[in-house]
Amino acid sequence: MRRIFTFLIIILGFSFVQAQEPSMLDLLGEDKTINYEAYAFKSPRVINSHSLEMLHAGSLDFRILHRFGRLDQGLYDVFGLDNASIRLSFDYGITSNLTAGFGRTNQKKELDGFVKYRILRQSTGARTMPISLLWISGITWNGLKDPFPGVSTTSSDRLAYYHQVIVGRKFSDRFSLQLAPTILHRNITPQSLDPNTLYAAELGMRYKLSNRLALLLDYTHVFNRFPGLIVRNPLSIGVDIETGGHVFQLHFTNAAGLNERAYLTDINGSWLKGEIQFGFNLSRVFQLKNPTDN
Amino acid sequence: MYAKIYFRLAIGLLIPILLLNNCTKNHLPEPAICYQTDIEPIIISNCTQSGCHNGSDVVAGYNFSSYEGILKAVTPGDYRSSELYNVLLIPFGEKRMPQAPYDLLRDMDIALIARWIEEGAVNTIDCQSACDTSNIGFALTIKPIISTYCTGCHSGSQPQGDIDLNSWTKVKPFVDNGSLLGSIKHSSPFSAMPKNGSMLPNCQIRLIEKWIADGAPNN
Repeated sequence: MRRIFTFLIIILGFSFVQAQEPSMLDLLGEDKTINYEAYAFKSPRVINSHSLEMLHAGSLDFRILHRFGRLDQGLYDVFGLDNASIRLSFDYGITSNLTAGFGRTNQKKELDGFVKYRILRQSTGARTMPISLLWISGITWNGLKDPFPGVSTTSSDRLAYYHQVIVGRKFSDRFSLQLAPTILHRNITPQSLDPNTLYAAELGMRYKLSNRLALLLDYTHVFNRFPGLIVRNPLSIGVDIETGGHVFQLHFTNAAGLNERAYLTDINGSWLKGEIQFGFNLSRVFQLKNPTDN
Repeated sequence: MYAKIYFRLAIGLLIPILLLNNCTKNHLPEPAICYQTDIEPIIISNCTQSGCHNGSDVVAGYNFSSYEGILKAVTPGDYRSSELYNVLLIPFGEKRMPQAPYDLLRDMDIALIARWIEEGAVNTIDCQSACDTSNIGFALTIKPIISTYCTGCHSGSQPQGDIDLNSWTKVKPFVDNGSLLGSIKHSSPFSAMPKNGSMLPNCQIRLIEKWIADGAPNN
């Protein structure tokens, strides 16, 4: 009995010393914990554009993007429900700071792929970082048999590239904001005055209404669009709804395109004339590997 | 395993994007612009209505009923600094042109005006060379016109009005009953096409007319 008692005291004493250790270090100001901000956005896309959120390591994001036809087509097309464009994509978190993904859109039978890397992550604690900083590079490939009817083209004419830097911050539990300077290069344009390289800036916002519901805004200003009609810049407004493992994003947008090349360069509708469409993004995340790091 | 596949994908994507960034600067071929048949009709129909930039009203000092009058709002060779182009981009407000309730110009009309200015805003009248009707083929001439103007609505699984214009066999019936030409020439009783848009440029109409007169061959 006495032995057991001694043993317990030793164990307790030992664990007490162990428990004491971090707090003693605290006193010395050597707290090593970093509190990373998470869920600035509910999914790795604002609506069309990439968001400052990353996938966890080992998780696969299966996304189904749907854009219906124009609302202004009226009841004959059930306000656009008859005509839909769709993009399916698989994005995978290789590490918590590196994601790669690919997708395919039925419009122009276009394939696209991207690599997304987080350079800085917003955090408090041992390392204070006011913003998150990400870099994204992507490529799109037009897969039509005859991409430009009647015109002989080279294989590189099917390609477009984009590079993007996202600077963003989760200001509070409710509000996140990001700004993303973007450069997009198309190897071929429909018109000679249409610049091959477009410069743009994306503004993305999220305002959380409740635990499951948030308002979203995604606008990209293209600086050298031709013709320079600002009403053609892609503007999407919507809500995201979280239901367990799914994230639904329901929104209205004037951009029918589903990848960066398409929504930045294709002729979008005009919000002023009601040339908008209803769309939804459905995101399902599968955890394929147990998370080893944050 | 997935990490490996995606890591390879990431590397495989990064290499072409960053190292072999095969950037070319092509654009699709464009037909020559003829002032008389391409530009003048757009400006006459959109800018010289009663109460606007015509000979009797001369609003803001602009009379667009002649080439010389149009040139006053144009800097030849530089569309970006041309007032004629810039006013067309204004989406709302008092400076919007054409003013409400008139519709804004179509993007392709604005683009055409811009290119005409950029190429020197030349007063081309004799446009035989611009509209070459000597060598018309369905695949080369007619199909691209139809693709540009018609198949946006008239193709796919549910074409508008059940009219599909995606191939020669589907176009032919509308050639035979005269509705194709009637629609694009806006002659009654045919429904005017393109719907809610302005007519096709004269050259395009002439090309289709000539092709039909030749017997609408599938060449």
